[in-house]
Amino acid sequence: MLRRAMRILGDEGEAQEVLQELFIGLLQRPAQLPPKAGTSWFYSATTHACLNRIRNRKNRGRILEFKVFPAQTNVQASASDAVMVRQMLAQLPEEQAQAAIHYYYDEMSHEEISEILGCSRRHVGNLLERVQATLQTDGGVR
Amino acid sequence: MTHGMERSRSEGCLSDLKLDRWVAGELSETAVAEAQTHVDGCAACAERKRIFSEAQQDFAETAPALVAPKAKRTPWLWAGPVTGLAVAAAAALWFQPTETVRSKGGFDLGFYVQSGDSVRQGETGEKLLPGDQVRFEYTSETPVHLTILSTDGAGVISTYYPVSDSTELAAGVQVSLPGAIQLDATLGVETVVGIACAEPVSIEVLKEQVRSGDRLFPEGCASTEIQWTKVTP
Repeated sequence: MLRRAMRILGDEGEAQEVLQELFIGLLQRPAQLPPKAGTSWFYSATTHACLNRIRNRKNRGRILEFKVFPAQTNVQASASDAVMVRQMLAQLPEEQAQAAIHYYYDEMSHEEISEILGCSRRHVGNLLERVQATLQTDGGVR
Repeated sequence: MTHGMERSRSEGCLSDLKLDRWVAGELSETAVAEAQTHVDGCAACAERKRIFSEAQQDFAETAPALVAPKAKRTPWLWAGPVTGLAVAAAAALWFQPTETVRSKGGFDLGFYVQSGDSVRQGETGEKLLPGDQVRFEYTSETPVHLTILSTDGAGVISTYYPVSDSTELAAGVQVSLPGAIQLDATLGVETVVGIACAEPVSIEVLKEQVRSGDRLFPEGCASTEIQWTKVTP
């Protein structure tokens, strides 16, 4: 989970924070954990938590434009492509963003993605087509 | 054109999910046999399998004992049916093992102050300086839509959070909010109200309640207050 969160967020500290929050939430509300939750469930939960963090990070960027807190400007200095990808993920609808992460970051098959998202393989194909269309439009960043 | 989103593994290679499931013992015998056949003929996947297995082994040997938050001890973690869940939860707690629960009806707001080069946990009632920077953190037992409003020494009400549209924040303990505020030069007592609502609520509605002093927030909202006094150095 940490490996995936780091890959998605590009920042080890943030990845640790996200997982910390995720598991604290599970400790506080164990009912949200399905009885037969396994690796797939944790993949999905991690993806969702990371996407929330990416969207919050976008908000943080806005905050920092006006209210500077230099010590907290933990904005990653990774390659521009990676930054662009995360900007795109922040803008995509949730389901498309999840599909994109599972396809491009996790390199899952359509069948695996359909299992994680709980939808048909055809729907996964449709989601990825929309993601690819977004990627081809201004590099995915509007 | 590249976008930083290209798949790198060859077609047919095992996904991370499959490797994770394999290492976790979740694959069927048939699936394991198929995966093993692939690994036997693919050096790259064999190496990935070795790395995944070693990582799990290392963690199982070095993970600290699991300690649940005092106020929220639940038996499921030790009794649940999911292999490896306790290990995973231990990993999360291991990141910040000193986490504690502060609760006022399930919601609380705290803050950190950076003054010059030093950073400290803030306490209500303390004196702060213009230019100090404040970062908020929240504790909530349930997902919330959080609004933080400030009334400064001149009576001006500002929205510290959210910056744009309200988004649901996950339940958590002492979760730092993104970004920080830098205190302006208006001196005097500043009152900060954190309002956590189960559903999105118009900030203007909340502001009006703060402005009037009634603080009759909508049903499903909990609030807490912090005060500091801005003084000259």
